[in-house]
Amino acid sequence: MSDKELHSDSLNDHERTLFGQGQISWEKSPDEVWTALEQKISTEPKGKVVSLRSKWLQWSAAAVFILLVGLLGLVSSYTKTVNCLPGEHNLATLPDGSTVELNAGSELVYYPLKWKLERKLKMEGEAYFNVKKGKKFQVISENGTTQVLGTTFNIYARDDQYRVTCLTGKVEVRSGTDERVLLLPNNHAELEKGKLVVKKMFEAESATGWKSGQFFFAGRPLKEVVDEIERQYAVTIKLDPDLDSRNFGSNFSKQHTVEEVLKIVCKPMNLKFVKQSENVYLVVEKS
Amino acid sequence: MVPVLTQEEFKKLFEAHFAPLRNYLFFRSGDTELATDIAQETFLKIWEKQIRIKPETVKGLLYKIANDLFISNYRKEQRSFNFFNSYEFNGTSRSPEDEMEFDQLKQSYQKALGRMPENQRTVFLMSRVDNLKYAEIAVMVGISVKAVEKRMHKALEFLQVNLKANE
Repeated sequence: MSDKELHSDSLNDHERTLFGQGQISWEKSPDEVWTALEQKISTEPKGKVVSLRSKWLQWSAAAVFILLVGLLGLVSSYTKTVNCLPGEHNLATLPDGSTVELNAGSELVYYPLKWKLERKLKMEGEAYFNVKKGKKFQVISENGTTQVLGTTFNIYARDDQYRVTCLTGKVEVRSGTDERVLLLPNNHAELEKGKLVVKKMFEAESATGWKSGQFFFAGRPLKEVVDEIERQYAVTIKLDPDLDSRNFGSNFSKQHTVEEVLKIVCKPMNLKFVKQSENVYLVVEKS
Repeated sequence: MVPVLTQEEFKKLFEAHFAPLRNYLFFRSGDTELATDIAQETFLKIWEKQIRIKPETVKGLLYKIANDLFISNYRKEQRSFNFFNSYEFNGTSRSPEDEMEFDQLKQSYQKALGRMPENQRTVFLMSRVDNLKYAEIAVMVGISVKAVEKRMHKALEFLQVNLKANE
């Protein structure tokens, strides 16, 4: 069977009309393509030229991109937590050599992989910072943020309390309401009814006494004192809620046993304590 | 020592082979931009690899590279084959009736070509649009002359059946 038998003349006529009488409409003429080629071969004679139309390349580029973003996310979200349980004192060393001494019942969270870019950490509880000179160093707590360049300072951030004591250098303290104060050595800032109050002549050692087992309380609510004893000795102390806000002014040293300390606290306030079981005490008014 | 490809030789190669190679890629893909890209890339490859030009084999090599590029990168993208969207007719004036008939004819060919198997379509268009001899097509596509004849025959058969069905 030859082509002639199979195909009618009309098909051939059609073909003749349709094909070979026109031209393909190109976006670029051969000359234009040559110009582009010439440029490529003269500027990078041996370089590898890959068209971006290549699906494969697009996919691998996308994959690399996703991987990078993921890695970045991973790096920036990787945290390290230092916990200090009741009855303990901990020393944490940060990647730049700055140190943080944590008081009992405190927690510190920082981003070790991001540290070089941003010295930023979260802390709840009480801690004494010795910051190496360098970039901005930020400590974020629920009720405030403290920011320094390189100094030593103490932060107490528990419940609704926020207190910062500056020992050396300069410290900027910002409250949750964005109020800012600048502290010089021996200055102390404290949150009182949502406002930052600065005390200029403050005995800084009374704020950092905890490091050496000395606890100073000047007109602090009894609840706060009892909580501190609970943390330092890892015991449970039940306090009649009526007594919570009674003010207490004294100090104690961790050299004493918990019962000795309770005695020191109870005696001047006309209170007594009862040992209910191992490590559980009840503090009530002397009847 | 392999003599390197000079820019002059490269230009000659481009002038001789670019247009038919690009046409061939268009017949396969139905996409003019794509055909231009792959044809350009093919020549770049030749340049980068500094392949020594042997007139007997260069044609086969060019089409082989173009084919490989086409298959490895672009074939997966299934596109509809719209030949006449990128094919312009020389400005012969036709009467309105003829114009209508012509448009209808174009449409039925468009449909038929879209459905024709790719290997038949490519060979058919190379023969009809570029007026290439079967022997030339055979070298470019990398098949025997017999195979080209067979594909042509099948293409014509396909057209006849499909155009009739459209009427």
